[in-house]
Amino acid sequence: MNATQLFLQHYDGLYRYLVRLTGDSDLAADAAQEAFVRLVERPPQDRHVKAWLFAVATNVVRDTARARARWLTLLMGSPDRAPVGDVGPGPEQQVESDERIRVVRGALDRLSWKERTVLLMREEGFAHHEIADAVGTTTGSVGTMIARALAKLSAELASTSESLK
Amino acid sequence: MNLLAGSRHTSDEDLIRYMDHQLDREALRRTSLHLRSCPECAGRLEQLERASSSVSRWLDELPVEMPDPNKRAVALAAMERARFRRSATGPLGTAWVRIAAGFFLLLGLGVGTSPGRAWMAQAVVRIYGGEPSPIAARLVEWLGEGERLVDATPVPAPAKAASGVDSEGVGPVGARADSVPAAAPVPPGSAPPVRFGPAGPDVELAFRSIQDGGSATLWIREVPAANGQITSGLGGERLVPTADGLEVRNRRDSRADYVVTIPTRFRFVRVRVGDSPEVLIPVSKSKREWIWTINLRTSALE
Repeated sequence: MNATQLFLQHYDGLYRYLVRLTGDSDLAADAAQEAFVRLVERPPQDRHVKAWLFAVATNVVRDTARARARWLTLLMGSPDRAPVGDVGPGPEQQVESDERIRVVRGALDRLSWKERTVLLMREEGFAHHEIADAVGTTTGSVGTMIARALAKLSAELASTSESLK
Repeated sequence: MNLLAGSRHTSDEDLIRYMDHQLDREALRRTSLHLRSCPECAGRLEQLERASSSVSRWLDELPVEMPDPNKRAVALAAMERARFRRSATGPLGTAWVRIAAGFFLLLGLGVGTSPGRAWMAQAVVRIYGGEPSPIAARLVEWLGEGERLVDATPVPAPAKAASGVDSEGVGPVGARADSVPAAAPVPPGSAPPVRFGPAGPDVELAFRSIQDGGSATLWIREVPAANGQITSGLGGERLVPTADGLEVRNRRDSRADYVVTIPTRFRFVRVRVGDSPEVLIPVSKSKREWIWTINLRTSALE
């Protein structure tokens, strides 16, 4: 399969994952582009291409986030100011939906970087060893991080869900 | 919700692996057996599954936006540019391509040009000195620089003047030898020079046959296309075409001058005086000194 076919097959999924990971569509687009450029410059030898792309893009985002640490710290410290992708203010009937989106975004941003990454990669269906490669940890600790992230997120979102009702 | 389990039961980590089908066959069998007999672990598994599906539903609340078509096109173009750059330089990278190109360029210049061939032949001669191996000699000849093998061999030293030798200089060579550079006066009876001169596609060899006694035979070998004439001092000498060149037969009183024309493509001729060893004479037009000395006063003189 050539690079163009891989791009057409994986770009959208990678972009969606990166938007969920970062909450920033511009950053997601840049990281996805960089991952595909690296794919043709230094193609993976013995790894699944999709997992490799996600791992590279995750690292690109993490490196970029480090460079913009102050900016991200401000955002992560204040969920109300966290970006919500390209969704703008909706009509009156969209208010509740927007509120839920903002709550999820905020809860996600309060997870640690690794917890957020393992959780979102799991949602994309990656195996634990692939997630471990992406975040730089052991396969065994991936299950622990997933369990912890699920506990934090479900607890926070459950209480928010009750208040929205 | 307490998701972190004690060590006696299946850990949350293993329960997550169980949910995600990440256990190997043996661990899967063991965990399945334990879950059937342990309500506590089964309950925790159920909690994790509920939390997982709940989180998945919440994550689905996030807008699944399609990427901006412009950004998508920009990303695809960037990837194609990177692919083009890679295909242009190859997987080994630019450096190796440049090194290989430089090597073949030097090799082409070395073999394809006259100065290059001369340089390579000179290098071989320098390495092997006066006794090149057969392979080196063949390489030098393949490069068309066979005369360098001769150059590398010691030139027979001119013999001192012998008594009773005609002290007169020889007469002028024939009309075809007009282009032959004038040679320095030759001590009579010693070592008559052979002068080389360019003549269109040919090279002219002009030489004198001054002898102090006996006879000598000059075999100008391996030049079947050669022709020659006696230009002066004819005294019964003859130029005899043979299968491998021209044969010049002199007598004791020979004083004849000869001009022999051979094609330029012959880089050297072999000359033998009597039974003495053959001497290689370079015919290259590139020689600076158009004079080569043949010692006719050898033991082969009768």
